[in-house]
Amino acid sequence: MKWIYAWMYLCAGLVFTLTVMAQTPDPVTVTADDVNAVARQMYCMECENIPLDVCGTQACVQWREEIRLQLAEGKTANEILEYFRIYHGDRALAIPRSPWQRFLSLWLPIIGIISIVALGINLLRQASHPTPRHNAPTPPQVESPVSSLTYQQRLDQDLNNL
Amino acid sequence: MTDSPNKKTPISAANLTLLVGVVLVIVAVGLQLMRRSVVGVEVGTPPPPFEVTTYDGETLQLSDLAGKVVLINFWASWCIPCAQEAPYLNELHTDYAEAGLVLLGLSHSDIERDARAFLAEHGATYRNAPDTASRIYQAYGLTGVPESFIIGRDGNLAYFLPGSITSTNYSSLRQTIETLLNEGA
Repeated sequence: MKWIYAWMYLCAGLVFTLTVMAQTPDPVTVTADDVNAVARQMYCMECENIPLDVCGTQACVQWREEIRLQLAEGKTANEILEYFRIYHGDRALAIPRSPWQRFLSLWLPIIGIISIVALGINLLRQASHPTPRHNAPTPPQVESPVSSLTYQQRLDQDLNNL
Repeated sequence: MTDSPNKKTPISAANLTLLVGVVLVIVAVGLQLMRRSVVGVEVGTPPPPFEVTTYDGETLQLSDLAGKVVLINFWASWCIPCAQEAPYLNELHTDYAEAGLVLLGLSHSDIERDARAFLAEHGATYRNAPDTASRIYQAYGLTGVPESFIIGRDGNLAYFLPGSITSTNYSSLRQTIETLLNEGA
């Protein structure tokens, strides 16, 4: 009989454990790295040029806490970024507000790089092939009788002279 | 044939490109600096209009408050001076609401949950709303919080207080509000 009681206790324990496990929601573990991965792409309104993940102000602490809570709710990084963009504006994602500034921020670095490359190429060309000054008098080219002859003609000429 | 001494050396394409690039950089920086120095509102002129939805769900336009004295206070839950000036704002609302003062708090760069907790903690009974996407903050040319603006009954900005309300400026602020309330009352 003892083994029957043992089995009953075992089954009851198993049922209880499974019931408790089924009722407890699976907690989403959010690490500081998870929060910082999202915060790295953001800037709060108060700390210019300091990304949210390294900003130490109280405002940034609160923003990071909000990111943590939203991650715990199961939201994706893009959903959280979109939430902050709508609620706090484009500036939260370091997007310039005016279209003109967006244009400048996109094209100025490209123009700068092209300018530097073009200048470098130009300087290298000038260093390897110094260009003659414009309108400088060029020495008249005197055609040498020897240099104008081809190798075969010069050979024939030498053989004839023998 | 000799070179003329006045003849200029032509600029190469690469140097011209670089020059244009540098000029563009200077223009961009200049524009940015100009934008920063622009003051959003001036005393004696009508302030920029706006529409907000308060934390209680009420949609409110600045034009709805025409004919009243309006005190707009920008604040944030993470701002310590904002917490320090909260009792003064509550007192102003208690003392002058019946006389026609409308107090409107606008939270800046705040998380809604924290903003609501701040309002509950300080017992703010006047209207408060989030400044979504910091649009009003930008339009009014703010540089930080707290800052307060008082609009007169004529709809023009009558007073601007950069910084917080303290025991030092509180009495003069009350006097200004009383003067504005008496104008055209």
